[in-house]
Order: sequence, then structure tokens, then C-alpha cells
Amino acid sequence: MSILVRFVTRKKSGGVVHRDQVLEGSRARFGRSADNEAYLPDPRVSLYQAAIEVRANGVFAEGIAGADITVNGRIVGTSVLKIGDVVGVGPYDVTLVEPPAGHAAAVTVELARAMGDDLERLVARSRLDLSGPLLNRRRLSWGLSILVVALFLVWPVAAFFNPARQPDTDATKNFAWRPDMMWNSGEISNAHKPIAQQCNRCHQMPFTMVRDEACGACHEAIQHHADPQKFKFAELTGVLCESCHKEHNGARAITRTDQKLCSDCHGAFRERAPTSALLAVGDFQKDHPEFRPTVIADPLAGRFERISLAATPRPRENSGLTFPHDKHLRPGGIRGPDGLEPLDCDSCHAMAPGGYLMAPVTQEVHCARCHELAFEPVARGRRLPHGNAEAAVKMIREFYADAALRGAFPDPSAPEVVRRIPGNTRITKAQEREALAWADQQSQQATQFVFTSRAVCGTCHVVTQAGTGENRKYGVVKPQVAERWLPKGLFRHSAHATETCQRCHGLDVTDPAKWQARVKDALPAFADAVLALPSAEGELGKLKSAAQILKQAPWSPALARPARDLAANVATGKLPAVDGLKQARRLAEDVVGAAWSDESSDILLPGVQVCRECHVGDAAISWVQPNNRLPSTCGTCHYFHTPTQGPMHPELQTVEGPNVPGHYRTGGVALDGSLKESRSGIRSLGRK
Amino acid sequence: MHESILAFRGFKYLKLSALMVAVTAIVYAVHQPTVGPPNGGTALGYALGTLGLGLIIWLAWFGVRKRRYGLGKMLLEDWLSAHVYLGLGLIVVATLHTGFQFGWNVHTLAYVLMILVIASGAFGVFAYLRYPRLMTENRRGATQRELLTQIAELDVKAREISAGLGDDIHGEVMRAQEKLALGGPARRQLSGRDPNCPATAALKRVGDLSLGLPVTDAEKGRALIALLARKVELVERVRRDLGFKAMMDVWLFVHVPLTFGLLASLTAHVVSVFFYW
Repeated sequence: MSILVRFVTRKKSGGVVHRDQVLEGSRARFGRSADNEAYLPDPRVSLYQAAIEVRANGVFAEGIAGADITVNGRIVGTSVLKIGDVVGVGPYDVTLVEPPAGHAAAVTVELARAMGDDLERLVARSRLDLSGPLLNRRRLSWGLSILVVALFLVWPVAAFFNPARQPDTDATKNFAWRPDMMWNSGEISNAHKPIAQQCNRCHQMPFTMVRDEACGACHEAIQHHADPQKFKFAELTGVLCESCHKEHNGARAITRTDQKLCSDCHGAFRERAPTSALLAVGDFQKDHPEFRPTVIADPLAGRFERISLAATPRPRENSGLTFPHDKHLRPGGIRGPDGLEPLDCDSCHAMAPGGYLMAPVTQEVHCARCHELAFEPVARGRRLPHGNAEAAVKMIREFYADAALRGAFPDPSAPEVVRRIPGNTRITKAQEREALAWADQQSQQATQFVFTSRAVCGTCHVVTQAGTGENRKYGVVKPQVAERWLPKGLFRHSAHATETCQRCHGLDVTDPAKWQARVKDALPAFADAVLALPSAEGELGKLKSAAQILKQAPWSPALARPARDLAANVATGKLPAVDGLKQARRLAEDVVGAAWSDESSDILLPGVQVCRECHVGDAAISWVQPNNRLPSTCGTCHYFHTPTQGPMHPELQTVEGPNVPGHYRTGGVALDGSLKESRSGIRSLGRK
Repeated sequence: MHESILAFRGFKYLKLSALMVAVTAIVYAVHQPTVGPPNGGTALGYALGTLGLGLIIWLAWFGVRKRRYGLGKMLLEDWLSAHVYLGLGLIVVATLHTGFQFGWNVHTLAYVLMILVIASGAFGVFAYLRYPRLMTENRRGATQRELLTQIAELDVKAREISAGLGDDIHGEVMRAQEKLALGGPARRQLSGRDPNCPATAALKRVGDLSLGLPVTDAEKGRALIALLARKVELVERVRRDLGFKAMMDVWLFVHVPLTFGLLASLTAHVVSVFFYW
């Protein structure tokens, strides 16, 4: 048994098409579900809405599970059908027709009430998803991508290749914003801020690491670390400036200061460079050699030598000057033009501009108030010029000749013509000869006095003389004061301004015998304090026995009170004995100062262990290091690019040193403000 | 048995991503650059950058992969689960790549775009976990199309009834029907409601007007109001449905375009870094 179902579709043009479906069986269900025998794809139809069944007594229509159907417009539950009856299943009309041969029944199915225009129009008016002309993922994606590439890639690249754009040599004119600034990966270091807006000052070639030539354009005088001919190490020759100096990491300096930079080679230096005279050093705390000041070994030949402070005999300065620190630093003061004047270090020593070195001491500024270079008791105002022996001799002669011819010289032993009342009286030739002979004799005496007695030149200088009688010539050995004793290090006085001078220069720790002798003169109060300490163990015990001897000496009242306070604090247990000892030593240093030194050949330099009181080695991570120590790497004191080596760009000259009379340079960097420049090898930024 | 993409394969990809994050973080903590602070230009910086770039390209490839059905050894669920977890892990990899150096430049632009892409993706995960259930509850088994069809049918019936109830009521019904538009601008869709809903307004006005109907028409009036009330309910349900749907879609309008923006800015980032090496 089979049922023929004919789906009829009316076209808008009026034509009719149909599709036949033959259903085996006697029952055909109509509904929206696909497993219905007659599938009606319309949302208004239930999943299983109606059924047509061929029974023995006719063809029946029924609603499934209580669903409504209509037969010829009337709502029914079940109904027997006759040919031509129309069953309404939702919007469909199912019409029973005469079955063709071979079929038990036949129906036509037609969507009579098409989904209304209402739905179509509602949908057309509505916007049921987010996409719109603006909110379109594809368009947004393209738009954003093109914008980003154009703005952040094409524009800067185009600007780079713009032929009109050249790096401007005038560093003052380059603060305009440029598109490749958008590529700036981080803040430029402070030193390079003036050229921070000009990317192509450094980035000269696309896709090439910053070339050394770019650095050399400004750092024209930068020096090699070592002679590249002698030391052909890959670490020195095979690297770019950029390998160590990484820019764009913030305002801090871009120099390497890590210990590894140096200790990699210098830690086992003998193996790397057997011919070098340098000592091996890997860490400041562990194995830094004792300081070796550069001193004059032979002043005439100009030969210098580096001698360790720990050597025997100790290195001595050979400056050609006589200057006893102890006489000048006498605790009660020294006799000056205005009575007793106490002096201290900064009476003569001041920091040089730049803060690295101390400014030279000069006679005119520091010595002349007391050492006034007068040569004639009746004319105290007349002073000899300093630094020029010939001019001094000439001045003495001119002074006496003038005095002789002018007259009225207030010296009873002088001839009458020299003492005459000046005025209209003409003098005879014979009187003139007599006067000039006197002048000659006076000037010879004065010259001899000035140069040979220890009152004028000889106070400080070594005097030379050649010839005899009238042809005798005097001269002064040109003093050679070290500008820096340790030219290989870079000591910045301004960075140590929190310390007293005595902390480093007063206490010559490499010569304790001399220091103790001086303490004996100055520190009975210290001795009292030390003796008052309760314990007598170890180092304290030694100091105590030394103090016992010192006790009898005259003492400085300035020290008495703090020393007594200190002793009291230790005695009452307010201060542990070890700390008390430290404070006592500090007191001693502060009072003794440089006063222990009685010879100008003394080298008032601290040994390396004095530095180590504060500076320890590369102690980045250390559980045992006291936290008031400064981890210090090689770069703390030393610099990598050695000014004594040739420049890295040899066509340029090296930096010239300072020109201070009486000072010699022991190598190293310049004395004054040019220090910074010579370190980085910049001579000028090319300002026109 | 449904398994959430987050818990897929026993959190396999969460573990993978966590491993990646842990390894990069440990290496970063241990690594001490020879020169300068940690940054993208050290050996580790380049390594992390390469890893991050690879991850981003792989994550973006998901947009291609999800359109190719049944290809490859990994299931699409594998891809999605890995996409989510590796995408989140990328935050750590890329942040360590920056060495915490940020500025007003193309490099930080790429980073910010990446963070926005990941954030929008995270919202997408949230939306896909939350809204499908709400949508099902709201529609009560029907599809959105069915709801719309029901509204349209109610319109037909309402017109038939109102045709016999005088011009003012009929006009009101007709105007309301013509004016009703569902969805609309993105913001209104996302809100899930419409304060100027014509259907609601029509219900109120027809209610007022029907008070003046003759007794004979009262039955029809009540039927009409019932229809309109049912329509308002359906309309509001459709709006809520649209709102949920919009929440599930809207993040993609950020996620996808910004992904392309990110790829473009990464191109600029990589080219510029090596252009000015």
C-alpha cells in the first residue's frame, strides 16, 4: 500500500511545478521534523502536526498529540476525508485528490499561506547581528594593518632614505621630532641626549649594527685598551664599540663596569701576556697589589719609577722642594704677619675643577703672605718675582742702583752720596761712581743672601750656583711636583668629600713607626683614653702599652674632652671596647693629620688597605659582607680605554695635557675639566 | 559527553602553558645580561622575542585552522584549548621579552595591541562560557527565527482584529507594526533592550484607547490587547537574545582586527629593530 504526496509550488509567473513522493505504508505524518513521511519545512508547523491514514473505511486526517488541524476551514481533531477536502496543516493546504492507479490515496501539499511579508519586512527593518558598514571585521583588520604599517614602518623608512635628510653637525639644532623616533626602543643615556633625536647619527646603514665609524665621528680620540700590535687578543680586536656600549637602556652611563670585563684577562694576566709588566689582579678585595706611586727616580734625567708603598726602602718623592708638613700644622698655629695662625689642610689644598684632583699649590697664592721674598730690610715692600731667578737678580741690581742714584737711602752705613737729601743738588762723576760701586756691592751681598741663606729661595728650593766673583750665577732647581702619584687609577676627591683628609692622608699606615712617634708628640689625651679602656686583649693591649709611653708628652687640649668622653663611654659599657678603639683611632687620625710628616719627600698616600676599609671587591651577592661596604669593581677606579695608548682612530692627535708650571704629568688623564673629554675621547662636538 | 575547552584533555594545554611560563620566568630570573639591564636586545631577549613571535603567529593561525574542518592530527578542540592557554602564557613571555621597558614607540605599541588581543580573547572565553546557557533559557527551546515568525503571525492576527475596531486603534496597531525594528545599532543590541520600543508604546496606547470601545467590541479589544502583550513579551525576548548574541560576537570585532593590527605592528617592530640594529 502506498500514498502519493505531491508537493505543489506556484511560481510568481503563474506556472505550477510539482514534486512527487511515494510513501510506502498506510499512514503519512506531516510535520517540521525531518523524519516525518511528509516533511514540511516551515516554522509555523509543529514537529509532528498531522497524519493522513488510509483505513478500511476511508481516508482519515488527524492531529497528532492534540495538535490542531482544520478540514475545510473547521478545526477538528480527527475527520474522515473525501476527495477534494482540504486539510489545513499550519500554513499548508493538504488536499485529498483522486489517487492514480497503484496508490491507495493521493494528496497535494501546497504552501497556501506563505510566510508573510510581515516577517520579511520585520527582518528587513531589523539589524540582527553586529556587522555593519563600519563594524566589519575584514575592513577593520585591513584598515588597522595598513594604518600601522604605513605609520610605523613606511613613514620612518621613507624619512630615512629621504636624500634631504643628513645628520646635522650642529648638535644644538637637532631637537625636532622625526618619524623614526617612533622606533626608539628606550631612553638614550644622558651623555648622548644631545643627539638623541638623530637616529641616523649612529644608525647609519640599514640592517647593519652600529659601526665604529659612527662612534668615532665624535669620540675621535678614544684610546685603545692595549697596544693592538702587541696584544692581539680577540677580546680587544674583534669587537664593535656597540658590543660593550649598549644604548637605549635609560639615562645611566653605557659603559661596562662589571668585574668580568677586566678579570677575564687580568685575573690570570701572566698567562695571557707574558711580556707585560702589569701585575695580575682579579678582585680589589682579594688580590689587588699594593699601590705603586710613580715617583721621580732621577730628576735630571727625568726618569720615573713605580715603587710599591710596601717596598723597602719606601718610595720617596724627589720634587726638589723643602716643605715640612709638621712645621706648618703645629697645633697652636704658626707665626704669620698677623700673629699666630693655625693652618689646616684646606689652607693650601683645594679641589681642582672637575672634582678629581687637588689644585696645584702656588707660591703667590699660598706661600707669599708669610714667605714674602723680601731682600732688603729697609724696603720690606719690595718683593722678588717668584719663579724667575734671572729676573730676581736683575731686580736686586736695579733696586740698589736706583737707590744709590736717587739718594736718601736710610742706612747709616751707606756712603754719604747715597744718603744725601734728594733734590736739585747735582752729583759729580766721582760721587756717581762711588754710589754705583756701593750699589754693586749691596746687590751682590743681597743676591748672595737671597740665594744662599735659607731665608728666601733656599727656604723651599734647591739653589745652584756656577762661576765665581762677579760672574757667579745663581739658579733654582725647577721643582717637579707630582700631579698624580697613581695615574693609572681615577680617584675623585669630590666623591670622598664625606671623609676627613686625615682619614687617608694623615695616617701613613705603611709607616706605623713614624706615625707612632708623632702620636707621642700630639696625643697624650688619646693615651689617657686608651689606658682607661677596661680590656687589655690583643691589639688593644699593644696600643695600651704604647700609650703608657706617650703619656708623659705635652698634649693638645683640643683632644682632651672627646678622649675623656670616649674613655668614659667605654668604661661604663655604653660603647663596646672594639668600637671604642675604632673611635679612638679616628680621633688620633683627626688630630695627628698630616702633622707627622716632617719631610717633603714623604708620600702621604694611604695603602690599599685603607681603601678596603670602605671599598670591598665585586660583592654583588654576599652573605658575609658587612652592609656598610661598597662593592667596587675594577671600573670603580680604572678606565678601560687607556689614554697612554694610541687613539683608536690614529689619524687624530692625542689630547694635550695641562700646562701648570712646576708640575709634571705622570701619564693618565688631564688635570682639569678636560678629564671627562679625554676619557670619552671627545674633543669637540663640531660646533661651528 | 561535553567537555569544556578549558578542561579539555585534563587541562593538558594549561599544564603545557604553565610549564612554558615557569621555564621562561626562571631563565629570566637567573639570566644576568653582560651589559645593561634586562631588555629585548640581549641573547635571552632575542630568544624570548622569537618564542613570542612564533606563539603569536601560531595563535593567529587559529583563524585559518578553524575554517578548515577535519584537517590535521589535532582536533579543533585541541587547537582552541591550546589557543586559550598559550595565549594567556604569551603575556608572560612577551612581558619578559620587554624587560619591563616601555615607552611611546612602535615596540610598546605591539605589546599593547597584544595585551588588548589577549584581553578581548579572555572576554571571549568568558562569553562562550556564560551566554549560550542564558540564550537557551531565554528562548525556551525556540530559535530566533521562530520567535520572529511568531511576532509576524501575531501582527497578522492583530491587524485582522484591529481592522474592526475603528481607525484610531487600527492606525495605532499599523504604525507600531511598521515602526518595530529589532536589534539596530551595536550599542542597542548589546544593551538587550530598547527604551523607545514601538510595540510597548502601542500596547499602552491601545490599552488606553480600548477603554472607549463600545461594549460590543470589548471582547475584540481584549483579544487585541492580549495579542499585543504577547508580542511585547516576544519582542523583549528577541532583544535579550540579540543582546546575548551581541556579547558573544562583539569581542571578535576587537580580537580579529587587533590581531591583524598586532601582526602589522610586529612586522614594524621586527623590521625596525634590525633596520636600526
